[in-house]
Amino acid sequence: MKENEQYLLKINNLKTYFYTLDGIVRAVEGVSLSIKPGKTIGLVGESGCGKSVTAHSILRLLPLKTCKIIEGEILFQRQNNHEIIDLTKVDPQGSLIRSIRGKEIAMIFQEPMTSLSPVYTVGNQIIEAILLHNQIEYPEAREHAISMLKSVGLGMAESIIDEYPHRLSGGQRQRVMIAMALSCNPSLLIADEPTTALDVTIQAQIMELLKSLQKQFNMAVLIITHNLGVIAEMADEIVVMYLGRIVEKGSLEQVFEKPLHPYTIGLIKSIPIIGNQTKKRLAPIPGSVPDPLAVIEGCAFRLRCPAYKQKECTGHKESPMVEVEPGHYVSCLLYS
Amino acid sequence: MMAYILKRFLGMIPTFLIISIITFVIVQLPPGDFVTSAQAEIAASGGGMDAATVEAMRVRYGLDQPILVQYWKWISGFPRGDFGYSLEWNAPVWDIIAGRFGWTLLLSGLALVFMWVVSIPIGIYSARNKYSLGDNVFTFLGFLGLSIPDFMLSLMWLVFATMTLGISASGLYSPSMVDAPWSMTKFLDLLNHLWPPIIIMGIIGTAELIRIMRGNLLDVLNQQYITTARAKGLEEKVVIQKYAVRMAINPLISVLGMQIPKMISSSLIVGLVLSIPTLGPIFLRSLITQDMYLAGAILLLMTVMLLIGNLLADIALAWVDPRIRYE
Ligand SMILES: Nc1ncnc2c1ncn2[C@@H]1O[C@H](COP(=O)(O)OP(=O)(O)O)[C@@H](O)[C@H]1O
Ligand SMILES: [Mg+2]
Repeated sequence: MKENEQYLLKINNLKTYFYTLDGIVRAVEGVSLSIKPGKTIGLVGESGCGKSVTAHSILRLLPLKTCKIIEGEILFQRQNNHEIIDLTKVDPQGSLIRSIRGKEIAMIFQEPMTSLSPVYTVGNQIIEAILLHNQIEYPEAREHAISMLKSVGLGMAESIIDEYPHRLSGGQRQRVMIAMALSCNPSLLIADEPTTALDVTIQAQIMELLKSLQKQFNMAVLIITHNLGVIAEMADEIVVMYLGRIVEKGSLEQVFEKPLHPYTIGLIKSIPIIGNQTKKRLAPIPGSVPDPLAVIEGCAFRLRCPAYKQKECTGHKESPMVEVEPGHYVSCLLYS
Repeated sequence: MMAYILKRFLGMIPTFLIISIITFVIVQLPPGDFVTSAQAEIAASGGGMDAATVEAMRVRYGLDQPILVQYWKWISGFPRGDFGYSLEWNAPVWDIIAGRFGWTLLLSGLALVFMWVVSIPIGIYSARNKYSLGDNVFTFLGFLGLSIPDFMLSLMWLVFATMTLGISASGLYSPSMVDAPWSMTKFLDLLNHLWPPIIIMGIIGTAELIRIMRGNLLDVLNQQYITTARAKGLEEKVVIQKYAVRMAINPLISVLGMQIPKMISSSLIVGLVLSIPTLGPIFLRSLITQDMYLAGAILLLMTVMLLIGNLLADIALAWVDPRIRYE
């Protein structure tokens, strides 16, 4: 227990499966990661590798009937008495998880255009969250909502609060979402591809904003993205996922400067660099993500792996997670 | 909003005029006119009319005048609330149809209410319990409801009520109550005669609305803002009611606009079969006797109800959906 206490959130060997008519989708297949208070973790991987499912598992937002967490634990340290609870054990519709959602762990999503209900004003939707988790009266909640909108850089907060979402731009809506998420001072913010749907310039603004708010509110952030470039400025630690598994994790410098796993190396090569006259073409990772229903024996990446093709490894065994240098882990047969 | 309503209202006037012309032409389409069919009826009962009488009748009813003049005489009375003169009943059209118009509106309105009150909860249940036993039962009943036409259901009810239950199922009152003074018993008797036609009229629409509501809600439940609402920590009940159902109902309002004319025509048919004084029986009679002003006025009145119904549906839609309101 002692060791857990320095973590805000610790996921151990999480397995989340979907039971579909076509078969079992092993969306998350043994993920372990931990987040320290006030730190930023980047969860990276191609689309479909289970990043969102991992995030939804934390808040227990997965479909009740088709999805099950079959193994693992998600230990979370609560705000007031530092009590540690296992989120995989709580009732996904019960009052315990509801008192954590939005209050201690908040989440923002990829599609700012559809993240807010079009039939209620921005204020209605933010104030609702504030009133839900705080014992205060409406006028005070409204004041708080306005100040939150100001702190996410929405200058006309007094008028924006009474606008309907469709009157705002994508960037403004994402700011509204951030304001709503931070309105109850969460200790963890999960940002699931917060900038993927936005223009490049706005992407940078939103990332800047998240970075400054993180300091101001002193919260931990789990940023999910398929673009390593997005989090290069912000993350303390990086976790790379492939097909529901973690293939590499380490500090930002370790992963960027000494990437170990061939998949991570591929991801780094595929980052577009702004301002770079692209003489060198971007190098996308060859091949595509395998069918999610398939169960792959041994190393799941071998079919796309340059090392496997050059017969540097056999690829037919499970690769254990090894610590190559302090804090830098990789799961790859080349290193075991 | 007021400007929008006013604009829509003025926009209805040309539509109304065009439809009135079409109506007038349609009513005139059958060969002959009121006098010919009156002649035929008299002949059928063994009497006869000489040519002079026939001509005199034509002149008296204005049937000898050019069709444009006839149309103008008829339509120009509308703004004054004069809907023409029934040739058969020898009375102003409005006096004949006013009461029946009331029953038509009442039955259609209540059938619409019935549809909504029944279909929305069932639609919600079906969507939230997709493919459950209950969902399948409702789907089955829905298809059954969709496939039996209203006149058939009316006949089945008539036969079942009279033969099996031995109760009165046609008209507004039981025979013993027709002339009785108003009392609680008479009122209950009236209610007992009103609910079957309302349900019969509403059944097809209910089945349709359940399907639509179920589909909409399933769609809405997959939207991102539902996850946002849950991630805020809201209770599932609030998520469903405030976020999901509220959105899923919007498209039903446009469907409402389309249900209104269906309900009106259904009220005619069910009224005819169950002898309820809607516009149905008298409309049929006026078509048979070629009582053209009466038939025309009823047709036109139905059109107006349709136009107003659509306008109300559009206003309601703008009222519930800010994205439309702000355009
Ligand atoms: N509701 C669902 N039902 C079935 N499969 C799902 C569902 N949601 C996600 N999946 C599957 O889980 C896998 C991981 O998805 P996801 O976590 O959304 O990927 P991403 O890393 O792009 O966020 C994918 O193969 C996806 O098809
Ligand atoms: Mg995702």
